[in-house]
Amino acid sequence: MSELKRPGGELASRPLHFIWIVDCSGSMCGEKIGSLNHAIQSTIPEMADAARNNPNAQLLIRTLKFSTGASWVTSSPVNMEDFAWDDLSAEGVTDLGKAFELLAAQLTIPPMTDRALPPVLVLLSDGQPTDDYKQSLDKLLHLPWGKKAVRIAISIGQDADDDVLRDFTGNRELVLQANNPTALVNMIKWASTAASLVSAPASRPADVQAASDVSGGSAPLILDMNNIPNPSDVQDGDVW
Amino acid sequence: MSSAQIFGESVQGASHKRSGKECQDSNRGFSLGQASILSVADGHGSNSCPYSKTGSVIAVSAFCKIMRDYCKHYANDMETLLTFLNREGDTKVAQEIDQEWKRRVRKVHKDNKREQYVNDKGEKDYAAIYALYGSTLLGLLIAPSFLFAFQLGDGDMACISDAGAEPIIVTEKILGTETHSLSKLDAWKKAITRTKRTVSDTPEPPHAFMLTTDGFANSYASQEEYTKSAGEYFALIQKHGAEAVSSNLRQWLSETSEMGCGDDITALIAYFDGKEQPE
Repeated sequence: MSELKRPGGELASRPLHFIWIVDCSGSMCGEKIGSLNHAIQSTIPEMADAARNNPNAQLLIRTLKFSTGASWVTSSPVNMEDFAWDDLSAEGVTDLGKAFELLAAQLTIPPMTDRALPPVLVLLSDGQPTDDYKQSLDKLLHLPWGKKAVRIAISIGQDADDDVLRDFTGNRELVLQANNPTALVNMIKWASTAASLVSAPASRPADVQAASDVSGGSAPLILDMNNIPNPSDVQDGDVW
Repeated sequence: MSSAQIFGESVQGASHKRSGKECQDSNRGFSLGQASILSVADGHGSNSCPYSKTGSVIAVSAFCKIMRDYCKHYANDMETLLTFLNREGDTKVAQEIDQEWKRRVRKVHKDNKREQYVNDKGEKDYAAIYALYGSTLLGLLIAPSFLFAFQLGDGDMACISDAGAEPIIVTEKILGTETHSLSKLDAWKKAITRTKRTVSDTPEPPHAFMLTTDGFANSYASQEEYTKSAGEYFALIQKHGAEAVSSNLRQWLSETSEMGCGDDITALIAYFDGKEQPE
């Protein structure tokens, strides 16, 4: 039988948006922001490897920072292989609500497409919001992609408001504790692996995920919760 | 009614090749007298559904069995079958398909002596068993005078002609990696069905019906590219014949997965050339 050329339109891998949302308020100044910069920097080679090993997902990464106001560090999503971390500095207040507003604007369709993989949002914060974040969070969580996003928070130090972070993630399990530099590195590394888990092409019954959308629900089954580093295992004399 | 040429393939996705997972999709299609029955299913493939390949095999088998039974029962009165499917498609018929899938899953599970689950009340936890076999299901009965389409979960069914590809059922799009599933209790409530009269609601032959699992459409850059592709498959069948397309289909679908979303892909096609069947 003759060999014919494959018919069909343009093929494409599925986009997977991974967004670091970083608290750059004054309380993060010093060792906290330094450790955060170092930790995220150190995840880049592994994330790039994971992206190369799965050519069927296009890992797009970007950073959103917030302090007095909020802004995108990279104006548009960057392919993982082209991503470089620009060290962040810290000053100002904690306008988390402004960050949620910017995030919501990017999670609407368009610019998102309906064939994307669930976005991964990783929020890192050490304090309490200084603006009214609830309205913008509510708007974010009512967007189709806001609901479906894998939302992880890293609570930095003992002054972080875990209830706020829980409101963001939808469950306590995904509020990871990082009370010292080593724990922060471990938690950031664990969060960065979410990208490769989300990109595996397996489907699941629809209402399983819905259970994780309600506050206090279980974590998305897409994540491997058994591998979350245990903060109490970390021996580090420097406690934030 | 012209004769149908039915062919299809289910291929292991590129990501599943890398991870050593078997293809979780299944398909079945055949002619029964003047009718044709097509079905595809997509086993979920996630770690929580280790037997979803079995689930998809059972799904296509259950749909075909029930449609075959209906065709035989109403062989001399297909208009009554149309009326019945139109009225009861998304209730009684959907329940029957759902129940048949669950009955077979319970049997396979028991026959293989797999773990039985018990709920808090000490009763058998069938929901936990069904979850291990999770699958979608798309099915199409093509009778001489009408179509009956059934869809539970994601995937696409299109009628393709020179005028282009038209969806037979338009379903709600669930974002991400979730789908409606036969594994849920009362899964039938999420089923969507359509009946269409062949003469008034579908283009004249030559035309084709194409059922695909979601790995196919998800591999294209957009819905428009998927629609364009369906049209090109049809054009190739017309130009080179169904046999030529059939013999290349496995390779094409593998390439589609490799260059697209990496998921398993199934495409099942029934082509009607418009030539009258000899009596």
